[in-house]
Amino acid sequence: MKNNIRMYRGKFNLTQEDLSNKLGVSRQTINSIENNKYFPSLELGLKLSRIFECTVDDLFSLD
Amino acid sequence: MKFLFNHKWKRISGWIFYLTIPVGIYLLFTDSFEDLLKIRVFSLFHSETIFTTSNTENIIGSRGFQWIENGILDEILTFVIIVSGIIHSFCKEKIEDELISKIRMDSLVLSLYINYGVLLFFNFFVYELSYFYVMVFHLFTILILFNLIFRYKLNILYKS
Repeated sequence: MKNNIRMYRGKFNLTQEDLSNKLGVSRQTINSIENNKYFPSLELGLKLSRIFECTVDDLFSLD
Repeated sequence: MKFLFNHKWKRISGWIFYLTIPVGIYLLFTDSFEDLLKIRVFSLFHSETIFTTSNTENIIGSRGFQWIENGILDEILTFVIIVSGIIHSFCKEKIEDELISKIRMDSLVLSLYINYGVLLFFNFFVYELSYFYVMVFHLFTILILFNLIFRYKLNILYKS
């Protein structure tokens, strides 16, 4: 599974720390998601899509 | 994740856990358990021995549901090690999120596999009374293994 979190984070001018604070997770979790080491739950995916004002499909896609 | 302890208990339970383990090992190997804190306790099951050698223990019968004299230091230490070990193992991290939960779950599964793998190994290579020591250690090894694996994986995560 690929994701565009890093791109959207850049678009919204957010650091990993800012995004982790908004989501209530650790910065390392954001880093792991961005590097495809961890695939987030549906709940976290939906929270990400709300922050980035897009759909979950825009953020995540299958290889 | 449900059923986790508050993060504030992590440090104190860790100190107790890692300090009482060497005390327990020392007392086990020096056979100091029997003479310390000897009181009358209620026993549900109690085997009686006729004689013991270095390797064997000949049991001639058993009794139960009666009061017996017993040194309870080993029982107290077992209680302290297991309770502090469980609290230390299952305290929330400072920032508890789903990645931490996944790492905790993976570490628990891996430690369980290793723990029972080691037990199966000793099952075929350690016999008689010596196997009793294996079983005693087995009470605590899953907690120790889990803590080592979980800490190691968290260290890798925090360095990333």
